[in-house]
Amino acid sequence: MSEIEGKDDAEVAVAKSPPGSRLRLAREKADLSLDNVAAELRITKRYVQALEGDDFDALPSGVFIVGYLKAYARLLAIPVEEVVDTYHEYTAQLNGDGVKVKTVKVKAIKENNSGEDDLLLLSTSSKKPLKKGWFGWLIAVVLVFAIVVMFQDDTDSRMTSEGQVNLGSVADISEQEAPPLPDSDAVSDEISADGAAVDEEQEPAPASDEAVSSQIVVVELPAKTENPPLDSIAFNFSKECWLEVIDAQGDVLNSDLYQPGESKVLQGYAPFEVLLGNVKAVSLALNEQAVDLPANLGGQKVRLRVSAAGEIIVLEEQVAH
Amino acid sequence: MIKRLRGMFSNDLSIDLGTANTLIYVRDRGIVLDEPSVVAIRQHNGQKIVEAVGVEAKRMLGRTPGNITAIRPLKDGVIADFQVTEKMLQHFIKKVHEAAWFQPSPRVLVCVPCLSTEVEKRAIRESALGAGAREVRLIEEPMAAAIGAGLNVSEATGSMVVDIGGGTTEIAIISLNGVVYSDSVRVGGDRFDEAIVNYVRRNYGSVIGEATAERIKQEIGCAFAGSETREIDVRGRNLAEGVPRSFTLNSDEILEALQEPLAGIVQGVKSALEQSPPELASDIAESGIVLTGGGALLRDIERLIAEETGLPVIVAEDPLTCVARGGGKAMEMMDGRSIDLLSS
Repeated sequence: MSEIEGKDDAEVAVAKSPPGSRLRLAREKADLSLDNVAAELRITKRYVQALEGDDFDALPSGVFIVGYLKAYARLLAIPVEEVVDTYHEYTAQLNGDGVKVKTVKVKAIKENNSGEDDLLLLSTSSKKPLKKGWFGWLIAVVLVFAIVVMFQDDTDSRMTSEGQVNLGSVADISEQEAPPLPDSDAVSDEISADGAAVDEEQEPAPASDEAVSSQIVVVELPAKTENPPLDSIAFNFSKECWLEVIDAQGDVLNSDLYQPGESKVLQGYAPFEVLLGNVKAVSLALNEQAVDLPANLGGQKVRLRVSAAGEIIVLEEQVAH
Repeated sequence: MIKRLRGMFSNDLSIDLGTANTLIYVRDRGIVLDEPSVVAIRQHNGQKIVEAVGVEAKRMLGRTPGNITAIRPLKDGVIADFQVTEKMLQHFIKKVHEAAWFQPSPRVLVCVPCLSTEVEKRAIRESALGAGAREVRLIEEPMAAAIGAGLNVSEATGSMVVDIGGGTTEIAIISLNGVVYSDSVRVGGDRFDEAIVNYVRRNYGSVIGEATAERIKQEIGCAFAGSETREIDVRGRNLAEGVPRSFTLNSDEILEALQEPLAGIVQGVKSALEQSPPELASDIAESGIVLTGGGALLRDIERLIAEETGLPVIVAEDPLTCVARGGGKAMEMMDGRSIDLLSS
């Protein structure tokens, strides 16, 4: 009972002071010696004295001090939280002053900080996210700018290529009146001026093939006016034949079966990879010029590569059984 | 490149991947996630679909129908189910970055038990990478716990940390930013629960679930005789009659039930003290032992260890989050002064 009364007295007496004096008063009320306490808490007498004298520098780091205080308060049956709280308040005050001096030294950011508990925490944590966020935003802005610039470049180039198309179509209109030879040159000149990925090795069409090419041109023209940089490849079938064409970009242009008398014109980028199911039944023309298939093909099913210059490389040959 | 860019919009995370709970600490934000390490998985046409993770999944533990299994992917502090752990980490990392525009790609520091093998470390590293981490660092759990508890680890003074987790108890002596001695005892909160389940079955002929056992431990569990006796009403299935029955347990009975696992921890602490170099042992004798981890919340466990060792024993403040907080601080320390606190 006397212990509890003593506790109340002590509480009134040392309301805001560090916990040491309160512990000492309580210990004296409980009639315990320093040695008794040291033995109970299993710490040295020196530490008990340091606790009572608020000499926290003589003690190990903070976690131990709190632990000792808790154990001591429990031993003396005084409220543990209150003791720990007063200790925290006391150290915060000490640290607060110290930090205040520091921050003032570094930069006079906040002058009216009246020794806040966690001034250190406040000042550092308010700085860091700001810096990080600012950096993030900077990058975001730069990215958006880069995308806008790229997009503009893109639209510019698209506009010039459209202009090209118009020119090409104008030239094609004139083609119907004029002979096809100089005109195809004009188109290829246009293309090479543009610098696009188009071959410039288009040979002038030999006059002897005019009959064949004119037949093809009728089918081909509308498509060609749309896509001037494309190469065209045409097939005529005299027997039933399977045809598969892959262009330089890997696009499968065609994969189908054709009947005798049919013809097929395809647009794409040379060189073409052509698979013919019946090579003997096909006549081939590249960019309106007839291309002779090698006569010495023994097989029926043949895989060819047709280059932009009209050269033919046999990749695979298979004799049908 | 894209990962690095995404990283600028992600935070550095410190993850305490524990057997019982996973905690994530973010710099400047504190503990942002504290959820049980439980994943509920639904079997659907031979495919595994994650049904729920964390608190939700824990509620399902022991209450699932046939096609759903609620599992704990970590056993004894190490990964038991690699894929599920990865999914769980993914879920948690995403949860922490809920407001982000991009898929997060944070730097991650994961705490590993000090005696984990290279294979186990690799498993943890891989699953963190698989969960989207940009960079994974590992730190030994007691080191993180010591930093989180506020110990001055960089001093040339020995300090002893006992981290009582869900699956393991990590005991370590730390000095000069390094672990001088460490040991890992496979006794933790789970073993406490198990012991309570076994005790109730033996003495009351009733079966209780792990969740009930955990509740009993948290409410009336104690480690040292002589403190006040508390009681709790529990319902369990009676083995003989096969119907649920209600009965009352008191803290003395729980103390009896916990004797064996507690003895394991005390033994670990004692052998650590035996093995420690004399200079460090004297430091520890002077300042004391620090307890962290959820197990430190068991009532009077510090009194038990103090009684057994004759040394002052202190429970760290907020012991559950010590490891995660310590990991976060360790990351800052490493960034600031390039101190090597890593285990690998």
